Amino acid sequence: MVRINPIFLREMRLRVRNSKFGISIFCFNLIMIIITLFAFEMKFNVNINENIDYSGVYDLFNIMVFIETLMVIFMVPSLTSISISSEREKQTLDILLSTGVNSYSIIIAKLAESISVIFIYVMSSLPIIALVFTIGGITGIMLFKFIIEIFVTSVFFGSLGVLSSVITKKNMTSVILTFAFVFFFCLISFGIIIGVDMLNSFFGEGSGFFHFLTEYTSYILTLNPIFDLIIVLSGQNYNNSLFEFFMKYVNVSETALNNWMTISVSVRLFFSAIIIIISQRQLKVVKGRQKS
Amino acid sequence: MLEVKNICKNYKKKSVLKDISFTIENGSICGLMGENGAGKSTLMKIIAGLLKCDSGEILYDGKSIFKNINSFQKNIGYMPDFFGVYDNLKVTEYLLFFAGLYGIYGDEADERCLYLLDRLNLSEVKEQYVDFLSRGMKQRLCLARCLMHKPKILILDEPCSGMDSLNRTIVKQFLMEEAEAETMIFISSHVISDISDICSELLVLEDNHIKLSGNMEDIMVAINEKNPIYMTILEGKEEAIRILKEDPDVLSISIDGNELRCNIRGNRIKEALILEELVTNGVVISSYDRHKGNLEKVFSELK
Repeated sequence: MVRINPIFLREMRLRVRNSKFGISIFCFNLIMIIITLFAFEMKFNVNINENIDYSGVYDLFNIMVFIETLMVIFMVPSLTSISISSEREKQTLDILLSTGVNSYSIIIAKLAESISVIFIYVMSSLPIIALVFTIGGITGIMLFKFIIEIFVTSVFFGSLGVLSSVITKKNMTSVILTFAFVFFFCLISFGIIIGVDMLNSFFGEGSGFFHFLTEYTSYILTLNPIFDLIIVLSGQNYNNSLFEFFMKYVNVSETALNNWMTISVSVRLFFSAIIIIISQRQLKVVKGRQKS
Repeated sequence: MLEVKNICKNYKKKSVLKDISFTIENGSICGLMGENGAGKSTLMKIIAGLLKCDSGEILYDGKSIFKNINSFQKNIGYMPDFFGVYDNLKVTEYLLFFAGLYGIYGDEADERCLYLLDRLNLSEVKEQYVDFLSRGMKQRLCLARCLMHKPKILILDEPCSGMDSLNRTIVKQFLMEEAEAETMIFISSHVISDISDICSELLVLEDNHIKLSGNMEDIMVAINEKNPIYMTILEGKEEAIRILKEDPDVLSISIDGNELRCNIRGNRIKEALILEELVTNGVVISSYDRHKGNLEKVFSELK
């Protein structure tokens, strides 16, 4: 008989029992509704627009997906970054570890709970996203890619949150560290690419160390969910102004660009696995060699 | 059998435990006493596999616990000196959660849960949230949690600290029954009566090392040996005084009417021999008693 991990079960029970959970789902969907209706009005209201351009549904979908992904990027760290440190603050970690439960089970249960919660939010917002299907043009594959993107982003930032939670003692330190990771991968990584490109231009384009650097530093963006989303939303023709802006600085091969989502998803899942293993080992160290 | 051998532990170059060695047999209750900061909780954490010692070894049934700590931990129930409860869970949910961690599910878990709640006087609050329990109830719930999987070793760090006298008695009675069922119990407390009432072994930590250890009965006998014997003589008082004065092991005698008070050097056998000699020489004794000592005296003497 398949048994559900008791830690996962308890975490879910505690989460959904909290009234804040219901309120946060309401707020999440309220934000989505406000932004969607506003964008819908701007694109399809006959009183505002002289001509209705039905290709505007792409922009509407992009806005919805982008906003939702941004919210997920901010929510995942707040869910996972206190997963272990809160147990430590409540002094329940010692009790949990004294039961002989595998530290891997603890890490996976905490991560799975956070991802499940994120999916409850995302699924609850699907009726709002479904608004674009009334107009047409958006395929199920696009929606599927978006779901994959949300899943991978949750796993990647979730595992970083768990790692922060394992290596720090206080909730606050863990939250700060996790958001520092998020900030690095979502924004600083762009900054690095732009910085390296500027240095390359300054020292003479097309030759030397900085040119070599621009080629390889661009791949740091495989860990950036925002850049991946921009590429996914650009579609096959890359007809997206944000995409055009970043491509001025990004130096990757055509093949890599055409398969960017596959590469990015694989790289992020690979690093997530490594982060989970490190977290598990760190928790084991806590178990065996706790410092006081 | 649990063998603790030459355990040492330092925190930032400060010694917390120094060369700790002792043995606990199955079915015995070992009391751990000592002042705050003596290293009691650290020692318990090391035995529970939550802290690694700097040197030394702990063997359970001849095997090192550190080699397969997870499987060793399935045999222990550890109760720290804080509650460690999840406030948003109900009492039964809390116990069933830990049952799940130990791989106990379904009817078996339910039955064990109800049994422990009943034994520890918590049946009435089984549907309540843990948050609403009193301090003493939370302590008893933590104890029930430790016992969900019928552990072979119980490590209890001040388990009765928040309890009233009635529940303290219930818990002590319960622990004695567990020990009779061959559960090894390692318990720490600042309350001397908690230790003296139920423990068969005693370990006293002071300045990070063992100050006193041994069988509780032997320790109590050793305490009592220094106490005077009181006897009430009905007939043959002069004869009794003569016999006692001639005995080289009788250190002092004082007389108060028919009551004699004497200090004897030696153990209970020597005590019995003197009594026998008095009786065979025709001394009629209506009462004969050695003043009972207690653990508090041990502590006052240790300081």
